[in-house]
Amino acid sequence: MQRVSAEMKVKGGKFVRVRIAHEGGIVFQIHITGDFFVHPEEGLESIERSLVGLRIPSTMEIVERIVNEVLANERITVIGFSSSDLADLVAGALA
Amino acid sequence: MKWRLIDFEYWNAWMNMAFDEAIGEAVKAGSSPPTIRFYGWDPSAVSIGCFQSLQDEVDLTACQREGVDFVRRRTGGGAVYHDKDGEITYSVIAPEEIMDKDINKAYATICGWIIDALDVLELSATFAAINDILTDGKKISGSAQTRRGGVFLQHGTLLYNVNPTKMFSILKVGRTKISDKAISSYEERVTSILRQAKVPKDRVLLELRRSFTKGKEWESGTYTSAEKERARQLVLDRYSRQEWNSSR
Repeated sequence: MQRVSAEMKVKGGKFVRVRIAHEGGIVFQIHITGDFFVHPEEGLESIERSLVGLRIPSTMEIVERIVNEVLANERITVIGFSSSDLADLVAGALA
Repeated sequence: MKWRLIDFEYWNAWMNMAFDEAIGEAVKAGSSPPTIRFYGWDPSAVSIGCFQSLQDEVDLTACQREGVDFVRRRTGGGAVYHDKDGEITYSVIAPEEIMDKDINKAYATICGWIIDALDVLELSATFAAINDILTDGKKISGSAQTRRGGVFLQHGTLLYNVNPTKMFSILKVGRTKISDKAISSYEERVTSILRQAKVPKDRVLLELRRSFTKGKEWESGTYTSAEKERARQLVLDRYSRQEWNSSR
């Protein structure tokens, strides 16, 4: 299992760090931490779960689409980073 | 709807967070009125945001050395050092329908109450989106909000007498890029009431009480025995547990 991480302070937003465990070109686990807000709070685990199984490499566009889908389906509001910020971070960590 | 105001009391970190949750449940059940509470932390403690990593944010060795407790909040946002003598915390817990529907607007509204109190104390303060208040360009207050099951909760801190050296020996923030310069610049980013004006803490509490209740029907109250009992249970079930506090 390989582990990678990446972090960013979103301009006008919050600090976000991702830690990813992957093997054989597939994401096994992802943890997103930081001082942002997610409403409802359980939504963050949904976002994390949605990215398990992600193929490597994945473009930023793919990651963003997955995140947008789960945000819309589960009516999750995130304050402090956007889906493209997160996609940038995840795709960047896996690049 | 008549509000309940619970004046400043000290509790430990676990009970403080458990009270917010227990009151929220009671408000949801209709057994408690919307509530404003002011409180302190004894012993001093760190609260971390719901989504923060305990290990990343808090120097647990320093906590043990200094006798500082730690707890994970149910709200997002950043790590806060709640010094026993240097900080005032508030919570606003109410049915969601009587608060601003928009999250950012609700931050601005309640931060406006704090700014109103600071204004009377002749501290010029401004709201800095998303959830901060600045005085002299430095952070003096931060807040966090959640909405669960139709109940609104916003809690936040107002720095009364900051000791940046102690604060940043407990919090790891600002230490990620190890350099003395980075640490001192982080310390320069926070301020407190006493740094700006020589006002006794009781006077600050009086002004907060006034500004938070302005335009509301309210009465002084305290925790009900049911809320206390539920809070103690929540301490056992959640806030004292490593599974909760170290969950990220």
